[in-house]
Amino acid sequence: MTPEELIGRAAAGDERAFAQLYDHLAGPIHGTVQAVLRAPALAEEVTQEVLLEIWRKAAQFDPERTPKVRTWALTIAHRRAIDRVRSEQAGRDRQDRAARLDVQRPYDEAAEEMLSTMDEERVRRALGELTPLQREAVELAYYHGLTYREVAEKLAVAEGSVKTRIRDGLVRLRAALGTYR
Amino acid sequence: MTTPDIHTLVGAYVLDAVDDTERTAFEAHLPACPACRAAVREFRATAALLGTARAREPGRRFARTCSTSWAGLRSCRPRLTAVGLAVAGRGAPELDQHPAGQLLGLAAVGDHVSDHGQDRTGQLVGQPLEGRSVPPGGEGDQPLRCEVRRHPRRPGAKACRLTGMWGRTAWTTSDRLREQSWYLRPQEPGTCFPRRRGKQTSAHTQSRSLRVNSIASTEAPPRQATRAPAAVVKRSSTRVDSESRSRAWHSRGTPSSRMRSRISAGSPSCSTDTTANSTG
Repeated sequence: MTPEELIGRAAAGDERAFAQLYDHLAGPIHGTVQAVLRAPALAEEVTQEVLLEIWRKAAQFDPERTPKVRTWALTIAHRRAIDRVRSEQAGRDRQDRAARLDVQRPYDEAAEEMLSTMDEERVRRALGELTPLQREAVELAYYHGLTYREVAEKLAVAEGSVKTRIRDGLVRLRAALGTYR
Repeated sequence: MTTPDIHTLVGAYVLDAVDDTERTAFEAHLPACPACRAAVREFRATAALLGTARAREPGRRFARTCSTSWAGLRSCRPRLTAVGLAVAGRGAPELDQHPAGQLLGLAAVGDHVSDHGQDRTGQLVGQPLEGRSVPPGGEGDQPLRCEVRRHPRRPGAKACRLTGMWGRTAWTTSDRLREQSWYLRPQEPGTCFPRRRGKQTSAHTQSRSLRVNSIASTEAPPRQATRAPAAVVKRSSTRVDSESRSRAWHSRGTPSSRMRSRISAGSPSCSTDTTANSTG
């Protein structure tokens, strides 16, 4: 049964369907959250919250807007991870945070670690087709949770340029990845 | 922000690289802009691949729980403000049938005290969840047990029962869950901490390890014997009738051997609850 069929059943209260859906989604959700949050315990906590949210919102899944459950789930997951990162940063100076990233972790390190599965390999190759600036902008935003303004500051380029690079980068990624799921 | 500008946010919006103001503005813009809606839809699928590429299974301790309280949560979805997620062992048939053996189990628990004794007579929803609390200061952890039952008089509502807080019992109903509830933590099976909705400060994150006392202060007087047996975290998977359940759970559980070995390694079992004998 596809995730799209499963979530329909889950929305009707079918716990076994959700259990199967869990198998489809837990890994990608956790990986996404972990990529953003880094701290394993925190990532598991947020992963739980995301799975719960998916259960609670199962009836709201709209294949017209988001054809794939995985896309829908990962949109939620990424957003929740970002929310958590930013709330934990709320009391701090955001500029300071961008600077600390330099020390703690080079921007491209995230893309180089854990590349083992076919999914990872394929995405890595697709990222490799971007221009360096497109790739940096996309990775800093998606995997590090920076806003485009923070990306601009970090890369010392104009904000408008970062917005453009992110968008162009996504266009190019989409072309490289095609309908691959 | 002017309209021409806002189109350029589409990529940053999809990657959550906008601030709250910009997100709100962009979402307000979307209904009027088919091009941006289409771009969001396509970019989201692409962004999801960035996440999929990082797929990693959660740790083995994550969510090895019963699947059973999901239905209970559904019905209280609109008002649900907090949940508990407990870790229990494998062992129930539905878990064994499941290839991964990984199911989430959720039980709504809360600190609202129901004064309706009949709440506890409703049909049990799923398997009880058991774990341990860890009070602040780390002294004298307490076994916990959470049951979710159908409310006998309010169709659709669930009554949730938390047992074992210093031998007492707290009840809540699913439609009255209050903001602060109790959360059984997966990383450390049975560890329980309060959870709040909304953004958490780092100070809150650091300080949330447990204030079980606050639930004790609102709990109802014990109406059934709920002596707290010590030192095991397990999951009941056999059926007992509701009358004997509160006394029986300690002895009737069939925790997974894996879970038990892991738990008991840190806390040697001492099955001293004499009230459990009647069901042996």
